[in-house]
Parts: sequence; structure tokens; C-alpha cells
Amino acid sequence: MWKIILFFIFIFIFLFTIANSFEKKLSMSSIRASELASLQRGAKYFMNYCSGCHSLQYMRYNRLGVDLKIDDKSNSINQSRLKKNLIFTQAKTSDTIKSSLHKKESLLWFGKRPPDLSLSIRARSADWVYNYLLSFYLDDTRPFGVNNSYIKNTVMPDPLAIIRKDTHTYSNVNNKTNDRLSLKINNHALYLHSNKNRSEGPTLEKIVTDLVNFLAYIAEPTKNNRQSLGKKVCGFLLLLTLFVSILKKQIWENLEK
Amino acid sequence: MSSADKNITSTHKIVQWLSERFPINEYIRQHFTHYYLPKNLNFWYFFGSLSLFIFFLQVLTGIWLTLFYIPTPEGAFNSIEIMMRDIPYGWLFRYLHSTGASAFFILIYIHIFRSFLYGSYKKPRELVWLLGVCLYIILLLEAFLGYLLPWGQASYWASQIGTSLFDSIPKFGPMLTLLIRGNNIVSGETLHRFFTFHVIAIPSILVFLTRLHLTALHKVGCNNPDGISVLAQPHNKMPVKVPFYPYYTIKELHALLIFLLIFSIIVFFVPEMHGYFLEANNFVPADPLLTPSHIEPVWYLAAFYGVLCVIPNKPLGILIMVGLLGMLFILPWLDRSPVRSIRYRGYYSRFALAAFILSFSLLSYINTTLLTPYKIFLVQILLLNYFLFFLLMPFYTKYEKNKPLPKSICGK
Amino acid sequence: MEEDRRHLLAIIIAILAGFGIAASSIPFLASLQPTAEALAQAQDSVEIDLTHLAPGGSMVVAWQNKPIWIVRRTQAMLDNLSNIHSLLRDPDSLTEQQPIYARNEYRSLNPEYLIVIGLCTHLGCSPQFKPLAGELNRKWPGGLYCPCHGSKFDLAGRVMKGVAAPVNLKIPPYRFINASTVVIGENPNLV
Repeated sequence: MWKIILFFIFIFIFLFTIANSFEKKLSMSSIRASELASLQRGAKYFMNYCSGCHSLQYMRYNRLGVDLKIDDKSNSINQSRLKKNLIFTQAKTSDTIKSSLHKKESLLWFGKRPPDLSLSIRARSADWVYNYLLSFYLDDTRPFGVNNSYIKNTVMPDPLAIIRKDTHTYSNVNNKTNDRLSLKINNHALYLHSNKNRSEGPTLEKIVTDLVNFLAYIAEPTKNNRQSLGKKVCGFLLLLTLFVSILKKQIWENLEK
Repeated sequence: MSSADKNITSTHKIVQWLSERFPINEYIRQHFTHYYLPKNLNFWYFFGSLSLFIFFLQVLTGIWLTLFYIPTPEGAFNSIEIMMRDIPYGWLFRYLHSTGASAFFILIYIHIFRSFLYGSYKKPRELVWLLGVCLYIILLLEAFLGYLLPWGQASYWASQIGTSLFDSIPKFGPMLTLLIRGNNIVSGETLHRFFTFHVIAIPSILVFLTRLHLTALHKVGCNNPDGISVLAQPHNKMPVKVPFYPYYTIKELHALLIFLLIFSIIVFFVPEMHGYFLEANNFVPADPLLTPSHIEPVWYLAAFYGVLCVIPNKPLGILIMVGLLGMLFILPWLDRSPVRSIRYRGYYSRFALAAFILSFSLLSYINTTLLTPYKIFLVQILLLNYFLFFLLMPFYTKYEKNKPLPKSICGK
Repeated sequence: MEEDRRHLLAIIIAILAGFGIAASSIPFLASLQPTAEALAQAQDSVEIDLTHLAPGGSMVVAWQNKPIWIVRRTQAMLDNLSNIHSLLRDPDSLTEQQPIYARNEYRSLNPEYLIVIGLCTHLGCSPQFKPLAGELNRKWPGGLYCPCHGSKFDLAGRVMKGVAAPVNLKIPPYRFINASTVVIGENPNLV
């Protein structure tokens, strides 16, 4: 009896774990439809605001083009949409995403090299990066006029300063010590649908959400492949287990006779 | 005779040719169709064969990883990231191997727990137990060596600490550390030799010891949850023992499939296991000039690492750490109880075992967190409890009141 | 009856398990494929400057990790090509070892330059350039000689009779940008 209950609890936990991967998938990349728009916007924001200093050394442009469905043909020499919209350097589409900031200048201007962001989400967690980008505050004592409550006395200037100015979202708290992550990413925000209200521009939170989604994709591009394969594997194993347990019961019942 | 000849198919003939020259039939008889086990083996008994399967899986995925891994400081981290992204299914091998390592330890700990539960280390199985403890220690070593290979911050500094342990051995210490590292600090030489030992040297030893472990087991036969010897009983009475094939082959297949299901859920949906199976800090390339602010040991080594944190005296700490493992070796001779299985032992043994499991689990957990003075004190108490379990055992097992043993495993 | 059911179940399980094992071997085999980077190397084309190549001389360049022999043939070498048909296995280049524009007596776009992949069609060793007549033996008309198993080719890369190699040396796609610059790896626009 308890075996049946255990079985159902098990199935329930399993379904709960994979629940968020049951959505309509596009044919080529296995990224879900709702995610794709967010990732494309995120790519746009990254190239605009971040790629000047930060590189994504493990991702190639053409891979990005394929996964984010920016260009229809893979390995196409033309890949013009990708080139026109996302490549601001002389890089070829088969190159990795590198910033054009050289070591000498970065040491001169910032004192350290801006770190590569390919694995930033895995090293710090999506929530941390989200909060970090939203936690810049005005500070006259710093060379760029801003400080951050997550990395004290950071040498990074606020990349989204322009958007902040438009939306007046600077907080004037000078010394915000945040040990706990105060702003949690809304789970639903990770699967953001396209902007319904075209008249107003996206809010700072929406921009950072898209950016973090994009960085999460960069950190693990094969995540969707892994989840879809996982469903098939677990389904198959469940089926096989069923048959084996029937056979097992039969063999052991035979022992009693 | 001639009609029988016509019925023999060509496959039959090949098998017959082989069996005249190779002991196939004898092997199958001795270890499968006529190898008897008690019929009441339960849930706790599957973890040995599951461990064997996981070992096989680790070797297979490990071989495939070495196809793409570059064992130099410049190439290690990058090669793993390339594996995760550009190599088809490279991510699968990586996750299988990393989850497999943690799964291996979970299975082994449950397997060892079974031995505590049912007294599987007592006579005549002391050798099986001793070989098992050797396997456990060598597995810890193998895991430690493999942990350096991703060359992340967590890997680098854990290895730096681990190899510094040898410094405190009097006289030979510093030279030994230099020999292990190949340099004054953990460096490319260290990475390369850890790689070689992890990939071929230690696995060969593990295979050899596993073979010995299983041979010793098959000589004395399997214990059972009641702790009573049933294998010596004659076969014609009410069956208390069953042949391995088909009864336990199907049961172990069943256990294997359930394990694979749970394992697959983890591998495909939560491979990082919130930082326990794949540490977040290991996604930052190793920087010999910058020690991270928290160094958390990987969970299966945490209990041993914790000893070093809480004992203020370095040589004493290392001695105690060695003592933790040493206790396991002398266990069969510390246990003076006339009863094997926990089912029929008195309350002292039950309480002691529960306390022991609790302390080891807590030791493993607490030492993965940031240690405060209160936690340090708690860890010291838990360590004391761990040692008391062993050191008091000759007394509480001898003087406790046990329950009467049943006549046979069937009459329950 | 019972046994039949057990038997059937065992067969079903065996089939499913076999399928599972076959499916799980897919990742192992698929991972051995060339990576995107290796595939990218296969698309490369190289531009070669031929100004320093004297008549009768040769040079070796790399294209797609293969050695390419470029020989600037003299008129005497070219004239000799039609005399030695009796020595050759496939004098008219009937086997598909060259692009259409190289299927001629000279096996090239421009008769002056022989551009050939320097990998012996036997088992892939790299042949040596032996242009002088009589260099190897009395009947040697000049050409390429492979030291591994003794295969011989003429100055148009055509295989000679009686050697281990079965077909002529392969000609890569190439085109001339101008009289002294060739791009190996791309076909000419008119063809």
C-alpha cells in the first residue's frame, strides 16, 4: 500500500521538477518561445551596454545567431542581421564575443580588467547579478560617481546610467549594506512575454531581467537540450521500471509455491 | 546419436568449443545459478551492486572526458567549458561524471550503513569489511585528485590545503609535500600528476581491490537482516536461501532502474544540486594569487576537513583525521556483541548507532557552512561522539541485554 | 501459462533494455564528431602569390591541413605530357579526381601551373617532387614519387601503370585572381 503512495509522491515531485520545461518549443534551437524574445532583447542590451568592456569568451556570434534565431541559416557567410545588429567590432561571425577594450587601457582607466561574463551567472547566481545591476547608487567620493552595495567600492561604472536617468531610479542611500538579496527576481519574469505596451519604454527592472536571462543562457546554452533529453530519458526509465517490477513480482511469487 | 547431432545448432557448437577451453559454465554455476543468498535481503542490500554500476559509469564517462580535457593550467578550465558548449553531448558527460561522483559517495555511505545495521563486518566477514574500508579510503583519494582537475577557484584552493597537510609530518613532511605537488605551490605539475593518478593509476587499484572484495564475499556468503547464518542449512527444507539468478538478478535490476531514475532526474534537472554537487566558486578560473573568502570543502570530504578547522593544533588535527578512518579498521574487533543484527540488539547499540549516524551526517553538513565559534564547539562535540561510538563499543556491546534470536529467517 | 507470461515479459524487457543501451551509445559516438572549430577549418581558402616561382620550380603550401604542390611547368615538360600515355593508367583523367575545368591534358586551368593535392592516392603519404627525366630510372619522365610504397605520378599528377596507387592525384578547386595570384579552395566564376 505504502509503495503506491510513495510512487505517487515520487511522480508528483518529478512532474513538479520538470513542470517549467513543458512549453512550446521552436524547431531548431530548443529554447522556449516565450524565452526567445527575452533573450533577443537581452542580447541587444548586452551588446549595447556591456560588450564595450566585458567579453563572453566562450560564445561565438554564429552560435548566438542560430540559438536566438537571429539568422535563419547556420554557417551562412552572409549572416547580415547578426552583423548589422549585434557585432560592433571587426569580428567575423565565427569569432568569439570579445570586447575591444585592451588590457593596457583597462588597467589605466579602471585599475583592473573587466572580468569575462560567460560564467557570471553560474559563479554568482541569477538573483545576485540581478540585484547587483539594480544596486548602483550615487556616491561623490567614487571616480565614476557611483558605488554599489553588492561590491563595495567597485570600479565598475553604472552601465545602465542612461536608463536610470530617464526613469529616476537612483536611490540616495549612501551606505546600503545588503547581506540578503532584497530584490528577488519574479519567477514569472524569467519567461517574459513581449512588451504589450509599446508606448512606454521598458522599465529598468525589465531591462535587467532580460539581461540576466541572456547571461543565464550564455552561462549554460545547453540547458534546454538537457531538460528535453531528461524528460525522454526519465519517461523511458519509468516504463522499463514498470515492466521489471511486474516480472520481479512474478518471479518472487513463484518462490512461495 | 546422429539425430541429436542434427539438432545441435552452430551457436551451440561454438559455445561448446569455448566451454571446453574456458571455465564459462563453472563460473556461471558458482557465481550465478548456484550462488545462494538469504531470501530476506532488503532495501539496504542493493547499494553494493549500485556502487559497482556507478564505478563503471564513472570510468566510462571519465574516458570520454579525457578525450576532450587538456591537463594544463591554461587549458583545463577552457577545455571543460568547450566540452559543455561545443562538443555534442559534452555537457552530458560532464554532468554524469560530477553527479556520479557525489552519487558514488551517497551509495557507499548507505552501503557502509547497512554493514553497521546488520553486523556484516563480524566474523567471518572481517576481510570483506577491511577490503571495503581500503576501497573507501582510496575512493576518497581518487575524488580528491579528481577535484583539482576543473582548475576552478574551489578546486585550486582545496588542493592547496589538502596537499599542505603533509607538511606537518615530522622530518619528511616538507619533502613529501614537494614531491606530491611537484613545485612549492599547486601548479601545472600538480595538475598533471593528479590527472595521471586519477585517470589510470588509482582506478586500476580500485578495480583490483573490488575484485578481492567480491571474491572474499563470495567465499563467506552474504549476511542477512536477521544476522543468522542460513547459508549452511541444507537445501531441501523450506527455502531460506535462493540462487542469485534469477531471484536477485531481477531484484537488483529493479533497484538499478529506480536508482537510474533518481540519478537521471538529478543529472538532467538539478545537476548543480544548489552548489553541493557543482560548487558555484568552481566556475571562476583558478587564481593562485587570490584566495576566496569562503573555502567550502566538497560535502563528502567535509567531515574530514572540519577536523582541521576545529582542532587548534595542526599535527593533532591531522592525527585525529587519520584516527577517524583508523577506527573503521578495528571495528570488527571492537564489537563484542554475540548478536549481529541491530534487530536483536539491546538499546545501547541502537542508541549508539543512531548517535553515530547523526554525528557523522551533521559533521558532513556543518563543515560545508561558514564556521562560527558555536559551530566549532558543536563540531568538537560531534567528533567526540564519533570516537566514543567506537571506543565504548567493547563495553556497551558486551554488557547490553539482547533480544532472543529467531530460529530461522522464515519464522517471523 | 505462468512461465509463458514471465517469458514474454523477459523478452519485452530485453528489447526495451536493448533499445535503451543503443540509445545511450548515441552521445558517446556523436561526441566524437569534428567540432565547430574543426569544421570551420574545412571551409578555409588560401591566397597564394606565384610571382617568385621560377619555371621548372615548385612550392608546397598548406590548404585545409593538406599539402598542395604548385609546379610551374616548362614548355618541354608540357610537351612531354602527351608522349607518355603508354606509361599511364588513366591518361585522359576519366576518374573524378579533378574539377571539370581541370579535366584536360594538363589537368589544370592554366597549363603553366600544376596545382595538385600532394597526398598519394594509395594510403595518403606525401610524394616527393622528382622533375628531371631519368632521375629515378631510365624511363622516368619526370613527376612525383611516393616513398611509402613506390607509387609514381607524372608532371600532371597522373598515376603510372604498375604501382599501388589506383587513381590520379587529386586536383583541388582553385581560381586565379590575376596572372600571379591563385586562391585555392574556391571555384572560378565562369565554370
